[in-house]
Amino acid sequence: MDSRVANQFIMAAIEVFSKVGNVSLKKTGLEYFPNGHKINTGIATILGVTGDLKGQFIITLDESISLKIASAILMGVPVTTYDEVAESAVCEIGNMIGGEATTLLQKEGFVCDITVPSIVKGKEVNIAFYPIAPLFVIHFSCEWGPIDLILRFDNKPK
Amino acid sequence: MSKKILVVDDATIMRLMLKHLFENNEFTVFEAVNGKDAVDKYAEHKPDLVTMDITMPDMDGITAVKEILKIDPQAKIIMCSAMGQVDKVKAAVMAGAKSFLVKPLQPERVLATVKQFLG
Repeated sequence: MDSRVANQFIMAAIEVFSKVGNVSLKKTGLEYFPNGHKINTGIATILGVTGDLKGQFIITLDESISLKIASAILMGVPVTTYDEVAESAVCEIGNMIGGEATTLLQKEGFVCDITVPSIVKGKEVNIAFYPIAPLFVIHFSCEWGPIDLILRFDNKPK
Repeated sequence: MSKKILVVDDATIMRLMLKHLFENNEFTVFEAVNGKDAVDKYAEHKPDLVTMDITMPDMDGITAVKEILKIDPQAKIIMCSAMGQVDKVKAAVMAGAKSFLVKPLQPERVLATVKQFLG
């Protein structure tokens, strides 16, 4: 995958978490999975990318982080249970990262759009994509805990 | 009498956030969950201002702006979307939106923009 593409998503994630929760995402690692990846965390927000780039990006985080995101968007109102509000918050974080990334990608010459988010919740979830394409997992840490960004694109950028 | 704002967003969290923000600043808030609902609620409540998401089921925000302006050519509509690409902003302005705020929304910026149009 073109590093320019990955970098726009990384910058978008850092920017969005900073604006939403005033938290600093720090990149702690990068992994490569040629044939898929088993997700070990609580909540995965999956969004499709269409246009000049085709693929998906996924944000995975613990339930406790989803509550902090919801509370931050609600300007400090406590959110203590994972319900429709918290689920809506992680969907919105996905939309915001996708929106920011596609705006940055446009400056690199890629015109893209994002699809509506889907949520997968559970332990040891195995997500498969077809056709099989390598997955890149970018690990972040922040004041709220660990967050992963997973990128998977079908085709080489133009 | 307090000014009325119609908040249009399919995301529960964003409707809650904007409702909380506006009610704490003495506005009366109505909610709509998609573009079609927004057109119906606009006709019903005649709000002083609308905040409008773009990507929504049933009817998107750009289409809803055009439909609302058919009902009331003076309608004040502010787009609030995560999709801040140039083409989206242009489409919203061409449709008749007065302003465009990119999510994540900054509460102070939202209030300043609303007050700019509501005086």
